[in-house]
Amino acid sequence: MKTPWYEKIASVDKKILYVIMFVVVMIPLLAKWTYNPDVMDEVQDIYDEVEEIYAYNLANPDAPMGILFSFDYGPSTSAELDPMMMSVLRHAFLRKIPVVTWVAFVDSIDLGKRITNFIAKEYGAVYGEDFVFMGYPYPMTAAVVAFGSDVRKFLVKDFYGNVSTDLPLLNKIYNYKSIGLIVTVSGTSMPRFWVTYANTLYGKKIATGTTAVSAADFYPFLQTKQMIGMMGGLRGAAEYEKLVYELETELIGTDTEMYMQSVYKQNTVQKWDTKVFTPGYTEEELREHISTRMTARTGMASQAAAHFFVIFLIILANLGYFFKRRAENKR
Amino acid sequence: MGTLIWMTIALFLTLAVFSFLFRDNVLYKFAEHLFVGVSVGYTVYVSYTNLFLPRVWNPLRRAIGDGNILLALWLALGVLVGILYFSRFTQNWNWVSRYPISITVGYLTGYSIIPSLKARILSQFYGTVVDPAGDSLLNAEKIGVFFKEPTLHNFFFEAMAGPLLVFGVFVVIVYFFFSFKNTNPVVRFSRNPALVYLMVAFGASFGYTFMGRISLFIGRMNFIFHEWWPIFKNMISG
Amino acid sequence: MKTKKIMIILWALLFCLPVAAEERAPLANFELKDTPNNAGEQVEFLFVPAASPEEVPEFLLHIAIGDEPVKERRLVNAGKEIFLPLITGEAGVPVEVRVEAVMDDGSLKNLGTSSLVSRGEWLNMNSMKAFILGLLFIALIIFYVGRAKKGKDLFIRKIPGLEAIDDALGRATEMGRPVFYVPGTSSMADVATLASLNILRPVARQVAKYETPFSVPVKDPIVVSVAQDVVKEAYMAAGRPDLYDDGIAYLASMGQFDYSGAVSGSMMREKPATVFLLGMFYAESLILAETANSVGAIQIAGTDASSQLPFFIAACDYTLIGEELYAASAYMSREPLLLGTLKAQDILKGLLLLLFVTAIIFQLFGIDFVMDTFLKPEW
Repeated sequence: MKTPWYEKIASVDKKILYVIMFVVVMIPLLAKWTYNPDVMDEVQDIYDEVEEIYAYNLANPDAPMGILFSFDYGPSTSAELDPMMMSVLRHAFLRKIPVVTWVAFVDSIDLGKRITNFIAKEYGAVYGEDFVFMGYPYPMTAAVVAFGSDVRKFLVKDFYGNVSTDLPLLNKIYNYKSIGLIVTVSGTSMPRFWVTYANTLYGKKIATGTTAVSAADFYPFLQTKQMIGMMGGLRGAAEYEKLVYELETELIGTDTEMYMQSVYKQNTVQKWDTKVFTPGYTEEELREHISTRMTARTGMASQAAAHFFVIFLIILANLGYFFKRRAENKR
Repeated sequence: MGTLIWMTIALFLTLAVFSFLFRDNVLYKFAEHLFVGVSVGYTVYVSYTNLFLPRVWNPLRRAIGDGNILLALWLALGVLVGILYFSRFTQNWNWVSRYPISITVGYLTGYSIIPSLKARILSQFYGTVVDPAGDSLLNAEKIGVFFKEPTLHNFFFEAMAGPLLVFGVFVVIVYFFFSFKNTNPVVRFSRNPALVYLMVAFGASFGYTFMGRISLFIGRMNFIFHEWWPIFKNMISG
Repeated sequence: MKTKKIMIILWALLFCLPVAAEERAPLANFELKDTPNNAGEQVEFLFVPAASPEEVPEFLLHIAIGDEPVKERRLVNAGKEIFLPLITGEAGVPVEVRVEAVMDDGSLKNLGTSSLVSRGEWLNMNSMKAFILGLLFIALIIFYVGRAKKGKDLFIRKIPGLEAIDDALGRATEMGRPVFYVPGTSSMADVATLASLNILRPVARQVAKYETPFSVPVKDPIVVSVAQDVVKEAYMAAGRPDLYDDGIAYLASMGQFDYSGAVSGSMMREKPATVFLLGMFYAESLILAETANSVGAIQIAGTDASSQLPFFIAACDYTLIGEELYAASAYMSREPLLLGTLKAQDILKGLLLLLFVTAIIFQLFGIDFVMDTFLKPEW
């Protein structure tokens, strides 16, 4: 007897599906298609909040608000989360908002340091004046609470061993009162931790960037505004990336490469600490800086293709199941 | 050249892990074990340099140097309690490790109960009664908006959003309520709608999970074709 | 003569009055207040400008906190109230704010000083609601665990998924094929594993009674020894110690995918009629569920890992969702700790649900009382 088609599709070898999936993902990636997402409200809200801080800082130049960035993820989820962190950091540096970064896990220290410096370098930000990296504050609960009074007493030194009270930025921003927004980017339940402590105890605004896997868990907090916004998965990253790209085009034009190099041409003064980053770029570095500006959007093209493929498979499999059931009932 | 060597190792490990899709094999096992070993080693090293040195050893030395004996004793006491963790490795004394565990768990639980109740129970319930703007979720005006202008958007985002949320919270809580008999009319009535809500939630999280997995794959492919390949090509041609 | 003098003074005073009155009308009102419900780490400075921005474009504050050097801060007069938190760090720190008005001609005018010593409160009343709720919950748990320990009957409804267990075991017996029980892939530290082992006991008893072949592949060495004890005891209780074998519960493998490979392999070979997947699962969940499905087994799954639940629901016949796993385990084992906690949780859930429904009904009539008193979180 000839096997009916619905039996055949049910027994397709998974390896064949993997190969097709590989091809589907690779075509947009190699062709460098980009995806132009519609920005959803929860992403736009984060962007607007950062812009609001910028407006506040323009009005209050001697008592500016800063943003606290918490790297709550490790290398295993950096494919999804790096683009988010980079986009929001770029936004903050573009708007000259003071930036404080730290990490929540031991294995994120290197990652946090690398990304903070990577983005700071693009805008010629000066360590200690425009941004600081506090390393790994332990225990995290105590650190979050310490920010309620004076974080310099808890973190006596920054990651590089500078005394906290010697850093000009930390003398302005050492307390939640001068933190306008907390950005937590995480593949774990850390955003919930931030809501529980920083939002509940200190009423701070929390913006979350999260992997797609945990995104669904955080919607209840958006509904109650315990989180002001959320970037979910690569799609959320692509949306923020687009917003920042548009802003960057508006502020510094389309030739980002020239802008980045010009930062280190104009200022011959040795104001940059080489321990943090070396001023100037090699060709390889320059390419990396440019390409990270669109990682999420190129990724989303592949993502969309993969989704279409899977939706097709789901419909096909369900049709097969339907006909199989019908055939069985007839028998 | 150095970058290329490291990146090629990363490429090799990525491919080794993906080889699991074909079948479990030696390369996959090698990558897995290497990962476990390296990450443990890395964690130990980073914990030592970033935690033990700056938060215990240096303050202790400083305290002793300054003659601040009380502070030194305080730090030493913490270290001693922490060392009790190691009793887990002994046969007869492993119960001692419960002391540091109970101190840590006690501290963290005590600290988190109140904020957790506020953030995850009170706020959430409150948010199910009124929206952040302070309007009731069962707002007759919003339902009126739909009748004035019956569009799909108004139906889902104005009229139905609040009532659906309230109803969903109610039935799902009743679903996880175990004190009444299955024949209880409220339990029976809410069972099916609660399952619909749960399935929609699981479906959403399933879809999101799929997206996440593909993103990770795209991330690796990006690395291979947009980071490793250009450098490799440069080296070959140059 | 004397009266004349007085008259002149009075007249002069009368003329001066409007000037004096204008002098006295403050350019701004300000007050330094202690922030309530804190440990004294912060005080508040409330500033209400009374003069128009044209008259006084700016105010200058001289802020002295404790021993710190006096800080100056300019406030632009926008006609709006300004609320300024000042960080003292601890209780008992004297704070003094001197205010000067910067007039439109640039001259400074002293408006006075406000001072206080920061004070801490013993209780944070904002957390009172949550505190009482927490106390109530703990009291309920202690009460119900005590009752359960005394042997009082605490009613728990039967989870519908549990009814499927008997049928599933019966089916395996009829078909003469084995039953597989996977107690999750985590350690004893996970509550889900404990819950699963509680369900293992009655399942094993039933299996022993029916004389069905049984297999419990385990990933964690400590869980293996516990599972062996549980199965052994169940076989004894069923009166079939002769059927018991230490190989029923065995260590399949300790690596995540080695384990799922090993279990899938034995499923393919032994073709079980019924597979239980109860406990904590990670990425291997779908591999196990899919294999069991492909050999035609009835699968009863249950986990509290929310990320794995969708996979189980899609691939298994019955799924215990989250808390249902604990409820099922309490139902089957009658363990006082589980029963008591479950009951206490139920009471608290019921109470909150009641409050929630009342609040929403009152809200419909525009009464915020219930909502504000019981549910509103305050910071």
